[in-house]
Amino acid sequence: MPRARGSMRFRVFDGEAVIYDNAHHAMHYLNTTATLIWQCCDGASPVEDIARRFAADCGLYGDDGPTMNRVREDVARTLDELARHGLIDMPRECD
Amino acid sequence: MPAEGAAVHGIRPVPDTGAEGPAWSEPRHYRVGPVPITLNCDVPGVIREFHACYHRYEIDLPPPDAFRVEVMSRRSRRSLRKYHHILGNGEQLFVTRRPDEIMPHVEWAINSLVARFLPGYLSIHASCVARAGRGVIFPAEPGRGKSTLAAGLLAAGWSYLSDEFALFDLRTGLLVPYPKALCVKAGSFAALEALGLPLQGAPVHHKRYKGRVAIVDPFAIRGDVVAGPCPLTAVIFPRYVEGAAPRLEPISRARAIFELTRVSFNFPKYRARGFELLADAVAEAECFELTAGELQATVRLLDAALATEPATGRQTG
Repeated sequence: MPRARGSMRFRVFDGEAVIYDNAHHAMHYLNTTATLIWQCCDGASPVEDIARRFAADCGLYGDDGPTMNRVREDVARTLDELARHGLIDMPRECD
Repeated sequence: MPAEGAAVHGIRPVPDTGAEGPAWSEPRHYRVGPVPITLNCDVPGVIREFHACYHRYEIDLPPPDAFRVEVMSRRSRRSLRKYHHILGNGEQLFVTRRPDEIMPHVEWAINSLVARFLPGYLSIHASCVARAGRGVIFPAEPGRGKSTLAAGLLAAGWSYLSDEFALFDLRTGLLVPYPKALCVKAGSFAALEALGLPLQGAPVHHKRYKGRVAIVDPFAIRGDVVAGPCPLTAVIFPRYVEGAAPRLEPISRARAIFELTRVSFNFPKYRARGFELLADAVAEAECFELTAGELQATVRLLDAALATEPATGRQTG
């Protein structure tokens, strides 16, 4: 399950995050969408739960049709990006 | 284009630097804001001009932590031409044959030392002014018009912190003044004179990559021009677009912090501490991107937009 890395300093202003990665000395800026998804990466929520929470935040309750599939794809892509930039750990079993 | 050495908009050309004068003078010592400087220069005209800008900050004893700037004039053994070598802390930074390049490159050498070595401050590449004790910074890479903007705002009654560095005191988080001489490009002379900036007495020099520049003593603008330490209340990323209507667009604080670290000279030195300092400072500030056009209109826009107290950002995390 995706988990935000612990070596980060961060602040969230009006839904957008700025993150300092202490371990790699790198700065990151996340828009509101990426921030929302990054904040869901608590190490306990599977990707499907994150997608549903994200959908709910976007006002898409109970929708299991094509819109939800698109949300799943967007969330998965964002998680890949976050992992690629070292902001989250994404163990293999969560795939 | 005026011929080399001719007056531009009534501004006198750089005076005879006296390069053939006495071989060496005693080093002179200054503390400009938090920046300790020892100038050792064998070109009397440069010493005179430097001292004219910084005499208020002269101190008797050499500060132990001083940034040492030396100007040594030597003749080439091969060509017998005279070259002026400008050194910072013993390292050769510039060599020029042109006497009118010395003063701006002395300033450049000091800037280089401040950017690399000044302890105790997180430094951002920005011009920096204040109004009613509230600091406003214009972070930008060279050529974005930050010095011209600062000079225009000073002419409009704002107070001065620096035209090159926003220095955040690591202990207090406040912006501190480093009231170095303003370096104004020739392209801005007419606009600044129209705003009432007293450029008439400022000698014109030549600076590599920038062309003709005037070095302006900020106290020539008015006696109380320099602000004291103050909190940050606005971060404005300027971009000059010729002929554009000036426009101020809000950006998020998160993005502003991210961009500030990119134009910081020493963020890598302070890391997490620097991040926390910037985040705390920007949390209390408004953040914008500025499309700067005609100077007078841009100053009017900033005057109006920054007249009110900033709202604090909704912060979580």
